[in-house]
Amino acid sequence: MDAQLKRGLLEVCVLTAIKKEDSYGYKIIKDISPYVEISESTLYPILKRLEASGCITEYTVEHNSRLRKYYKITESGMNKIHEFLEEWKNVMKAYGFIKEGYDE
Amino acid sequence: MNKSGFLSGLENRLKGLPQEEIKKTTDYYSEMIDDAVENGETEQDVTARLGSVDEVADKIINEMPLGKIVKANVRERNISAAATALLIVGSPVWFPLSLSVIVVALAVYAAVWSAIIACFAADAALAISGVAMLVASPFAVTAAPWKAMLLFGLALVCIGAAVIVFYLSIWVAKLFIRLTGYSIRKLKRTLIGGGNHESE
Repeated sequence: MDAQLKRGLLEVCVLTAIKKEDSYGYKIIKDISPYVEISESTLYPILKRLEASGCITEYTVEHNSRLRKYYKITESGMNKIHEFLEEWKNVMKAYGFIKEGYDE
Repeated sequence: MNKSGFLSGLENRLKGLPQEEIKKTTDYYSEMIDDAVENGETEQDVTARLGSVDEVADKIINEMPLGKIVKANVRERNISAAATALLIVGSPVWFPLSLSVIVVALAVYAAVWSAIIACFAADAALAISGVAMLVASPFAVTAAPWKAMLLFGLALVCIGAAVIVFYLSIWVAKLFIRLTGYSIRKLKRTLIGGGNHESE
């Protein structure tokens, strides 16, 4: 898959994973990996980018006498998911056309 | 490798990055390993899955903007008093020197891009003249059939050359973009490596 496309997809996947409830790194990977390939070292820069662009915020919670970072989605993070869905309506339309043309 | 080995290795490889960045990274991986262990994996399993320390560090370094690395190295490098004095006394020499090195490097870089742009411009000229001759050739029949034939032949030569030059230019441009990326990565690694050396 095109690297740029995969990066965009993963960003939205991460946002979706923390949309329902605030989540932490390990759980995000567990939730996403059945659908898209993601590893610890790919998640790290994604979280950093999402935070820098104001799509998520983070806070720490004590867990088993150590600290765990939780991520929370922001308004602009929600907008990003929304934009993705809108944009991909068109992509899916094109996909339908291509698939139909190919199967004929 | 166990958790502490992985983390200290990572910390060592990232020296030269801003201090807070190193802490953030090691905190992240520390939490990841702890969570995985809590879920029944052993430290060895997790660190094996994460990949080698070098791979993980390289990924982080490549993602980091060059400016941030340079700034961190300038700010956090320990320079002794004697070295500082030398730097100041020598500044009339090294400052113009290093400035000219940078300017020359930038000029060479700009020159290569200009050459690539010139290739595309020449290519456009070839294509346009080819098409123009192709359009004009039927009208030349009234003057003399051989003139029309000549024009038609030249038109085909121009268009053919334009196609070849076009792909050649694209190939060169792509090569140069790759070269740029490679040099930036190399530069980053050199800077980080420099930081590493100083602190050991």
